[in-house]
Amino acid sequence: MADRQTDVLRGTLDLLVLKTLETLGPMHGWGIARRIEQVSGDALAMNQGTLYPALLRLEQRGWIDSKWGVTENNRRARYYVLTARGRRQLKVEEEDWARMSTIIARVLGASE
Amino acid sequence: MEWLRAFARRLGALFHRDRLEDELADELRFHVEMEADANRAAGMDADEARRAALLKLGGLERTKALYREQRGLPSVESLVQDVHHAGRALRRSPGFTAVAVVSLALGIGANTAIFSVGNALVLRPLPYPEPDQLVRLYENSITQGSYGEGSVSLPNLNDWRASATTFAEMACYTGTDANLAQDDGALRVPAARVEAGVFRALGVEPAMGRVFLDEENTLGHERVAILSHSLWLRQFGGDPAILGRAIMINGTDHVVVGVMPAGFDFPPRSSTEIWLSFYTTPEQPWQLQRNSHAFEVIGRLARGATLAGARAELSRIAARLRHEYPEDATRGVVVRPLHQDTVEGTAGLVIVLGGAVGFVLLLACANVANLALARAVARRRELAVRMAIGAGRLRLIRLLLIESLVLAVAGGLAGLAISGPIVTALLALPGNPLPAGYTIGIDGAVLLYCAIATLAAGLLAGVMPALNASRLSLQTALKEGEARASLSLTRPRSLLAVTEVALALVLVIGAVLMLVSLRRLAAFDLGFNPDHLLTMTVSLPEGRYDRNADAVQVFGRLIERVRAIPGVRSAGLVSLLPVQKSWTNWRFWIAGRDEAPPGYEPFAENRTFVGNFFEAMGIPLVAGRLPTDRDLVDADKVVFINRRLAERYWPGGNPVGQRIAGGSDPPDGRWMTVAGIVGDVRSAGVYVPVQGVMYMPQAQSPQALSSMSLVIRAETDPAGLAPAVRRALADVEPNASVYRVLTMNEVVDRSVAGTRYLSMLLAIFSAVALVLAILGVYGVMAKLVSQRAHEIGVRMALGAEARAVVRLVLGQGVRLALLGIGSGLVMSLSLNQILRGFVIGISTTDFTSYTLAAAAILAVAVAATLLPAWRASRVDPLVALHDE
Repeated sequence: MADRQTDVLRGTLDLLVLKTLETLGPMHGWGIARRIEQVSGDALAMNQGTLYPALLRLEQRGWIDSKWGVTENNRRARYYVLTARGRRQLKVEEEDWARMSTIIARVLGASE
Repeated sequence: MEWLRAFARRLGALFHRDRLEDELADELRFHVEMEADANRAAGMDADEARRAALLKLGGLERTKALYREQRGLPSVESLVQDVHHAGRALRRSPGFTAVAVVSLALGIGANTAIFSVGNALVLRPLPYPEPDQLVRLYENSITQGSYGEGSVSLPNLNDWRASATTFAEMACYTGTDANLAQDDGALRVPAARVEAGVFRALGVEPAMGRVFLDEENTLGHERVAILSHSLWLRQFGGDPAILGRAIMINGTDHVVVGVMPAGFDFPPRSSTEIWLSFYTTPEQPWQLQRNSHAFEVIGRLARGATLAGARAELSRIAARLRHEYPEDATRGVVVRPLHQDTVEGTAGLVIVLGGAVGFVLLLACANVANLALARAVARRRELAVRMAIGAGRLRLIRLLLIESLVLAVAGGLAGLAISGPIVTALLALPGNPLPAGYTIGIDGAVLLYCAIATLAAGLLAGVMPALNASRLSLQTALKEGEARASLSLTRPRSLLAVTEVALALVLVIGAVLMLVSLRRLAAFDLGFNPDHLLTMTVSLPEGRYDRNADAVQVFGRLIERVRAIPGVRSAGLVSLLPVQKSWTNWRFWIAGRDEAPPGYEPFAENRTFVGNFFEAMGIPLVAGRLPTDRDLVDADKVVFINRRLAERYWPGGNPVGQRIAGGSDPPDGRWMTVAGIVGDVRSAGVYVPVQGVMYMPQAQSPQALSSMSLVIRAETDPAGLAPAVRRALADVEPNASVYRVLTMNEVVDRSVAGTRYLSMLLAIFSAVALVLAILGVYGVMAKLVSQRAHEIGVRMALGAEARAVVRLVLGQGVRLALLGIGSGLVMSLSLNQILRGFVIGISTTDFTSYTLAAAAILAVAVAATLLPAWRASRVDPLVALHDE
């Protein structure tokens, strides 16, 4: 059960991260995790550890970039920022998601 | 594209792991601190805040592990780790590593060497444009009820040419030798007479000048020559003004019209240096006879035509000719790809050698596996510890296989390095029958082959030790003493020893068969005594002795002069020396007998002679008389036949006084009287069965011969006579030339050189195989004894005698050997066909040879067991029992 939940999360995590970075601008990992939790109204029980491989994966694909910076209370942190390619990718993924959820809603509606 | 970018980044991450690790640690530390701060703000105490933060992250180490998996290339990283580990492990046992690498290097090196020979001489396409379209054409015929194939007659070739549409070109040629006049005497070089179409068929352009014109194939325009690049460089200093110059070939001037490019060779692998134009002359009317099958034919298929199509068309044409011409009644056409025709002989040799070195490599692999198994016993604890800390079985197998592959790669690199010297050695061995003048080097194909051999060797040598070692159970390995735990390792080792014995036996049987063949060759009755015989070919200048009587007169004077030389007992000339491949199978007629049905006409080899040829050769008279000085052109025609011919066509009767005639046409007025029957000699080759032969006095021959072989029987050392013979010839005819000066024993030796060469190589390979097999058997038996020291101690303590212990151990060794010999015999029997064509005088499944080889292997295996057996008998019961 828990596994399946994680899987669903993993599949959409990329989209959530990209969207969050689009909204917030440059942000560090903890900030991203925090934001996703808050926006989802803590409905997504996220294992924060899975965020970092996801960030790395997005960076490897060239959708986000990262560099080290300093927070307002003077801590060294790694900031992630959306690249131009990432912005395009976000658009694609948003559309995919919208289409997918429509389809799924339709299928679920039809089977009732 | 994205995955490629991602892959590149992951690959890049492999190279600065340390920095990335630090960054990851910093990033996660920051995350935990922030989360803990937030927790504290929510009212937790410091410890609890931190614990909750870590919990929410999902554990620091686990996160790092997940992250690392995404960062680099995990499979590559662990592979690199394993290779590093294997390298370290191998460095720790330098003795094992050295032995394994050296034996794999020898095995892979020998295989690579033989492959590079086969690659250059068999696989590589012939050096002509579009070589796949080139074919050789032969006539085949049914003679004496059996099929033979051979050269082509000109009228038949012309009929083929006129009708065939599947050929772009068809042309004839004959191989010959040419005398090239030099300031310092004559030079004898291989030459070929070719039609202009030969060059068109080959599609090769000359480096300088031109190739022959069609009109140069007619009498009156034929004095032209084309030089090979190497002859041009060697003899004419690369003179660019050579074109148009007249050079003296065979005593007449020829105009050089072209120089071929470097590396051009035709006929393939003949090292031909001069091409002369092919022409026919009324002086030699036989050339145009339909039954004079004397010419080689090459063809190029028309664009779009297939081999099968060409064969079908030509066999239709041949069927028509069979109806039209009685001479063609039994004739057909054979079309063979030029490549196949050229490489066939070499391919057979390469396959035998390749098989032998393949076996040596298998043996080397088995030996390395054997050593690795022995080593696995010592490493049991190390492997068990690895398992205990979580290495799975697959990971262990991989680790051990990688060790073996690392060994193989080291061996393969060394093998590649020594393959060149091995090829050089192969070519330098006396009697090497491989065609000369070819660059045998390392190219892509050789590299690929070496890589495949290396990989295969690594897997073969590694798979059994890996499976075996990984099967070991944790508890037993960690708890029990060495003696018990290692018992499970002897079964695979025994299996390997049995395999090694079997492989070695196959090689030894091959070597024994070849060595027996050599002995048979030496013991063959040649029909004459080759000792004290000097032979040489004497060639009269071309054009000056077209009349047979003139040539015979010069030859006769030469014999008189030679017989006057002190130390010469007798001398004669013959058209073709014995023990040499011959193409002189002639049809003949017997007076008073009905004409034989087509395909069953009498045939005989045909020789002409001058002087006391039979006496000089030492061929005995069986019946009738020997030739005399009165057997001259104006006397009654006589012929001398060998015993085989007499027995075949006059079984139980007396042919002396009977009349026979050679040739395909009915013999009006060409009858010859059989004057004598002489002994059989191996005329066509040392191991070619004796054929029927007719010997005719050259004086009575209708055809002039400008070159004959001189045979001189000496009192003692024949080789010392050569200078005196040359002087005698210079006195008789200063423009004549002498070449191929050899004692008869050298002639015989050369004809069996290929057999001797192969025997020598197989003997070397089987010696290597024997050494490897000894090591294998010894290793297993020594291990067995040390493992069973305890049991042996008990036996001895209970009163067993040393002799009984020796018998026990020897018995084990013999059992291994017998199992190996059994499987080796089965293997040899299934492979015996490979040696067909190389083994002479015995069957490839010769019982005595197989028994001999098996006995030798058994003896060797017993010898390998003796030391361990002796050691077993010296086991001190007290020590053995105490050790437990």
